[in-house]
Amino acid sequence: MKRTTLKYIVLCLILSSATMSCSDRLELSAPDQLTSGNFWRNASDAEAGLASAYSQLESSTDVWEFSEIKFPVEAYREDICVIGSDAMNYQTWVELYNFTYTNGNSQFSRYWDINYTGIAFTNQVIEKVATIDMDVTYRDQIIAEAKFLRAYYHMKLLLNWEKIVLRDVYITNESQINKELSSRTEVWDFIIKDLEEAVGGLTPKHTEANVGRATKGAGYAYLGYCYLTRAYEEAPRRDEMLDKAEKALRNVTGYSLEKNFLSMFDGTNKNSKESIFELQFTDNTANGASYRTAIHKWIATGELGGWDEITPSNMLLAEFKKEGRVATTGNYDSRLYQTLFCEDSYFNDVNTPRVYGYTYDEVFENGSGRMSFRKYLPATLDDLNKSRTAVNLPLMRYADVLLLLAETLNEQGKPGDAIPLMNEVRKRADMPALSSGLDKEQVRKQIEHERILEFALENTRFYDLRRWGKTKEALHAIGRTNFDPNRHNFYPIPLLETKSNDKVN
Amino acid sequence: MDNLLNYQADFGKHSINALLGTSLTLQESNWNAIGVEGKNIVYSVENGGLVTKEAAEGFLDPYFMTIDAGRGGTYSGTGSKYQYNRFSVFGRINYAYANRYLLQFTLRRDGSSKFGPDNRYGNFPSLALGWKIDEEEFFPKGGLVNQLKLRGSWGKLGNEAALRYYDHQALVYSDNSLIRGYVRGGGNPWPGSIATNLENREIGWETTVSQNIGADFGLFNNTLKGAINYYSNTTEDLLITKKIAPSSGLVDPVLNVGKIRNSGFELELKYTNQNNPFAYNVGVNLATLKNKVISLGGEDQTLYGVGLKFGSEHFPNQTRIGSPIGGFFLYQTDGIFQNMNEVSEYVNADGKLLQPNAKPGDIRFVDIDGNGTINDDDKQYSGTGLPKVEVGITLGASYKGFDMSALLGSGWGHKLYNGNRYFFEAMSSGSNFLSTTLDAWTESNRNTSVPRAVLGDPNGNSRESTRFLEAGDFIRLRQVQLGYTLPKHVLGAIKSENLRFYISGQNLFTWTKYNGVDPEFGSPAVVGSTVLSTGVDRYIFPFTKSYTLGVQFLF
Repeated sequence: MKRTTLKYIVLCLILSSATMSCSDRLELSAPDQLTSGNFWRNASDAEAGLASAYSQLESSTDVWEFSEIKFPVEAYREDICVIGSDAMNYQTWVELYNFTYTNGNSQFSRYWDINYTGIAFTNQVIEKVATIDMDVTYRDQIIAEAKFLRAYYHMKLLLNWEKIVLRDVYITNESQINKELSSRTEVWDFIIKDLEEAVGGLTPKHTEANVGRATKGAGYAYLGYCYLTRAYEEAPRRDEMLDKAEKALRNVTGYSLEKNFLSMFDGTNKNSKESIFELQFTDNTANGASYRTAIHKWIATGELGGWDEITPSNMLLAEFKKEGRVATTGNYDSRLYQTLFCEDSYFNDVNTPRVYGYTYDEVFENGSGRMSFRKYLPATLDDLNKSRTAVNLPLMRYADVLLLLAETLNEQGKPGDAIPLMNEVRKRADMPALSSGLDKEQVRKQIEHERILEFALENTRFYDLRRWGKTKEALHAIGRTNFDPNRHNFYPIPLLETKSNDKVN
Repeated sequence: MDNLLNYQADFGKHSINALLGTSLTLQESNWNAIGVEGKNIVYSVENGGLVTKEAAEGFLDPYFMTIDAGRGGTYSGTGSKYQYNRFSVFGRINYAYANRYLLQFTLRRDGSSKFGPDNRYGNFPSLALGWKIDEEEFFPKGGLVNQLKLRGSWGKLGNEAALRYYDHQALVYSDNSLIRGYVRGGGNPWPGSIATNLENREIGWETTVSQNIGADFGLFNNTLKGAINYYSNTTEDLLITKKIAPSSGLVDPVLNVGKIRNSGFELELKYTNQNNPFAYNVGVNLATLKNKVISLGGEDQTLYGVGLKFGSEHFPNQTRIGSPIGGFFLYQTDGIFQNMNEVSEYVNADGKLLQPNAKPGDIRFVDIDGNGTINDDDKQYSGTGLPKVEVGITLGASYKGFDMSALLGSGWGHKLYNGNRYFFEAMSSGSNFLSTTLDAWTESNRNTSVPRAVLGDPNGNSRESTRFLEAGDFIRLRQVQLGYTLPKHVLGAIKSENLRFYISGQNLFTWTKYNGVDPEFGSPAVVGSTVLSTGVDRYIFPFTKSYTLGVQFLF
């Protein structure tokens, strides 16, 4: 009798605890967080996902990291700059400048990580948003933007590494983690396919509340850039690529040059009429928002309260002065003064002190020849002295489209068609028109000159040089003879990738 | 919530004790915080554009900083919440025959909310057997050995401590800042939400099978007691944060990885002498450890530990099949090149320089695999950060009112990778270094193991090599205490039942050849390190000795 009762009690205990309540109690999901299973419900979720897909652009993921990753990796290897004195404290930056880095370099390893994080986010958005029951047109637009971004992140990687891992699915299984490198043409094909698909769904113009997101114009501009780059990389398909580049670039419409060049870089004219794609920041800190960086401190020299990490090179100054004081202002090319502070009568005018209300001699030292970049520094001294800034960085401007199209036309053997486009860009810089009789080689030289002046510190120079096969020539010309194009035209695959991905050696 | 049922019965020489139970653990945490910052955001229109500026807004009184005592300000709030549940059913049977033969069988079934539905439960049985030989008829009474028990056990247990609460799900993180959000509309924050982790529904219990065989004994009328034990614990499906391909774009996940075995002997001895007035006891415990990786994802799979240099470079540890977990795999150093001749004579079979960037004063590295170049494949197993033998000694003595106790610990046979020397003996950039670099190689200081100081380190003198590996052996006096208790007759005068003065010291003495701050540096001493980074030292806090003077009273 006693035994039987016991058995029943035991049985009841187990049954009641185990089957009725406990199994359910083990089925928990985070009470304060959604999961990939129960998120992605509506248009608002889709937009929040898309915001994250944008968040990794240009390594702008952290107040400090943004400048410390993007510029050492992209800018230090260019001939237009010199590493600053404070940067000498950071061995992994110095290695990049001196071309003595190993495959474990922390800065380009992070660059690799961040762009791939961006890709993972875009894959997630592309896959998950497609399942949301929402307005179809808007859903297609969000997916188109995500595809644009997926192409953009892949492009940034392919511009810096010779081969990369192509990531086109949202990884949900351990077996998908390791993947081999793809050939350049394979990745270019993938990028172009994404961009071609994206331009179909991208909007020509966003509503005011959404300005800054990718548009059809951005899609075509990068498509043109990719085709033009491929024209050089894949000689047998050169003509086909040039044709496609021309078509894509001509599809970039509705933009015009902004007369006030400086305003696009000092935070006073965000998303200007010239801006096609732009990296967005904001001073707005309401509700804990944090979208400011310290880039102005990173760019400015010590005299301007900066940290002295990067300064303009003499080669850059010489290039600016190359044509002489022939601008309609009676000065050098107007872009000089808006790109950098240098020792020049323009900055030493006592009646109009142009270095934040002071003259060059008051801020820098008379006769010192010291220079500081001016792009990305806020417009007022007040803002310059703050520890954070929120100036936007234009990534693709209409001036670039004009010069890329000019280059395309010239490479097609139509220098005469290229010259008016270049003149349009020069006119904004108060420079006289070029002679219409320049030949292809002269136009090439002029395009290089215009691109240096127009895009200094916009980090296009190294890709330009590599496209033209001139990296070694340019760097050796200024004495940076450590540069070996075979080893330094692209960065090595980061050590951590080769160590953890057994399909990459 | 625990339900326990106990059953006890004796039938002649048989004795049975059975226990059955269920246990349900529910854990919940809810944390909230609000704050107010002394600023307001002021909106204005300047030059036709909307401008936002911050304006100072303080508190009514600076000493009056409660949340609602301000004059405006910007409020912020944050919080977190989690739940964690575990459910177990378990049963245990103890059986003894004549108090001589002992058997214990346990079976438990554990379920945890940390796992996905497919792998939520695990069954964990264990069996222990004992034989009290000293209870046998044939065991000689009054002999040298007065107590002897043989025992053995086999058991399986599950572990999920390494997992966070929701690791099998891909949580969606929301954030209104650069890391996951963006900006649109020319300046409107655009909070982002996205999953950053691998969704891994298959993740399951880490299980350890423990096997023991040993004996407990007492000698000389139990004045010398001790135990000897051999153990072998095999852990399967270890839950480890695995470094995965950065190109996956995912945060390194916790995964079930491989199988390792820990085995060794344990010996415990304690001698007690209760003589009056001088009583003392001496205890020794010794344990050996052999750790070996039995299997990993694949035959050639290597798991890396922490990258000392910003996480992306300089990996001293590798976990490979056949060696201990997180073992050191390093380039082998072979002295310093004393002159250019030695550099140019260091060639491979084809006559090519093995170290083309070397100059006199640089370190010579060994081409272990003899393939004519010095690369990653020349890294060789060079030791483990896990001590092979640990010995502890306890001492206690008393004489009249005085008492004394001491505790000594020691570890032997392991290596430590001195990460601080890697950073502060690099001499490759213009920054501060350890004073040991004063002994760097120069033309006039050749008899040294410190290479030359050279900007950029072209020869890679600071690569992961045995240069920074040191023996970790140590003996440490962990604690010593001296006390004096006042005799009873004095106590009576001051109406106290007990009054004792003592002085004690912690870590007063350490013997070691290790050059770091502390051979037992707090682990994990490196950010992001796990068991895969065993023995890597970046501990920089000074080691503390402490003395305590005390009085104990009882009234």
